[in-house]
Amino acid sequence: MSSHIVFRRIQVRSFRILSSVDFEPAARLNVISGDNGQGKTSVIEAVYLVATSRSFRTEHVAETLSTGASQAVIAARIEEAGVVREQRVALGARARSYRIDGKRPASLASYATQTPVVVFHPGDLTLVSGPAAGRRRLLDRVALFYEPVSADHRTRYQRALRARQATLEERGPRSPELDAYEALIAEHGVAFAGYRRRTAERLIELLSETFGRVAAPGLRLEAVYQAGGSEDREHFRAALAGRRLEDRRRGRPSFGPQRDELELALGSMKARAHASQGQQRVLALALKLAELSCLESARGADPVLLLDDVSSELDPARTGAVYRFLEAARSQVFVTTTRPELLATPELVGAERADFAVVSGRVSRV
Amino acid sequence: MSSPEPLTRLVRLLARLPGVGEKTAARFALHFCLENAELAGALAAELEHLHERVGPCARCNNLAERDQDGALLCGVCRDSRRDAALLCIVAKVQDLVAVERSGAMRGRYFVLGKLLSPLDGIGPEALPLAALAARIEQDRVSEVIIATPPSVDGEATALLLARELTAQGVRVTRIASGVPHGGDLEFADQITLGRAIDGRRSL
Repeated sequence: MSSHIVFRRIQVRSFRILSSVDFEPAARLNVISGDNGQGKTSVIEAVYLVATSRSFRTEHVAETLSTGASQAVIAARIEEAGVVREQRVALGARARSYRIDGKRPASLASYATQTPVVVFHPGDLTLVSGPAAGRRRLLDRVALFYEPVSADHRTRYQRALRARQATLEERGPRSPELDAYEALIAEHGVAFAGYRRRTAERLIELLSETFGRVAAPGLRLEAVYQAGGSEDREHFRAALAGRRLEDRRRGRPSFGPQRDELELALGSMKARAHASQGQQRVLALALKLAELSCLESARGADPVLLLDDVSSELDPARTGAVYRFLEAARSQVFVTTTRPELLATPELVGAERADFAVVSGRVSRV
Repeated sequence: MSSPEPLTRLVRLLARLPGVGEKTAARFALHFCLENAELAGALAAELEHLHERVGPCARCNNLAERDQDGALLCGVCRDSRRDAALLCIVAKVQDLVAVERSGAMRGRYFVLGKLLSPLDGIGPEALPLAALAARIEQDRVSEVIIATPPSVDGEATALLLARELTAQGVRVTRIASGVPHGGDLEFADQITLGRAIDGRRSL
């Protein structure tokens, strides 16, 4: 049985519009309401960031600092299996620090897998309609929970790949150091490709189940993982050596896991190009639910769910499916909405639900 | 508040030292100024002649003190009990100091001074490969131990050196990568542990 993870207290300073926020969420459902532009999304972004070390809104975390502030701090007290820990992220213009109970974690990957969270937000649509990079990021995030070492191999792979490309472009395809970097690319690339494939297999298996739960009956999903590299070291090396001229001309490497694709098709039509927007939304939701199941099985704990304005993206029938799912889930949930009256939960007793209002970056209990 | 110009200049210079920020620099400067003028004088005298007295060893690039004839030869290269046929290649003087502290190295050293780093425009021609080859020839080195760091650029440099030196007919070895002594296996990072298992030895 998986353990329960609950945010008990969240404190935020100088993060986007949130100059000073301090609140104690309820164990099950937290409804965060307010008009647009008041800071609702920033609240769940802060929760996501203190749990994962990343933002789901931007790659450049430095831009989340409040205007004029030199440092943003997000701290959370998190209870798991009766034990409370404090996770804390401090963001400066250049430096960032991450602490668990005041101590520096062994690695960023070990920090990011402490507290599993899954976010559902309007931008998720690009998981289906957007480029393959978004789907690869999803796989890498899930892989981190199954096999934390995947992050080290990925980082080293990417660094060696950039070094090879710089060498090709600036020094030509005969430079002697290319053999050295290609040997390293192959070593880490083979490991990285293995994590991607295994993760994709797990995700695809769960995806067919979650898709069936939220999609209209009769819609057939086909999900296929296509490897851009190889899991055979000699094959990987030979492919790199054989593509030097081509990669130099194209200005980017043409072989390797950075070319992986998670191909999604609805009834044999590629979802990215041919699915309707409604179908893409349902598929994006199914992908996120599959991510949730993966994290749950890998981490042995129910991930905390963050839902940013989901009802605006789905038709009423699908919205109903989401809420039924939420009711069944045992996780702690944070939902932002402009219409809290739609979220009636008579079955939740006092301490299980809390309502918060966000006005000009201030959060207060309703 | 404005402090005297020479003091400001000193703070700015001290703050350029590694690990020293603006506040520590100001603390140091005030200490020299108010509490310990003698230390300031002694430090100034040492610093003034530092580069005349100390420089890179002509044979291995380790730090060496200049002798009466003006030659630069480090303590390790001058030590005749060292095995000249065993050569350890390191990236920086700091790494040499670390290996030396282990007491396990009975040969001599060669400090590269830099690692391959194509992203910073550093290619093989920036490495002292000719000097290294000459050193190996001169000292009739029979084994080279490559002790570059286990970073991507450190590993790439090791692979490049291994290829060049093997062609020169020398035995090339790489320091093992493994679990620190006294460390718990459960805390070892997983790439290190994976490599430790790949490089296991029979008992």
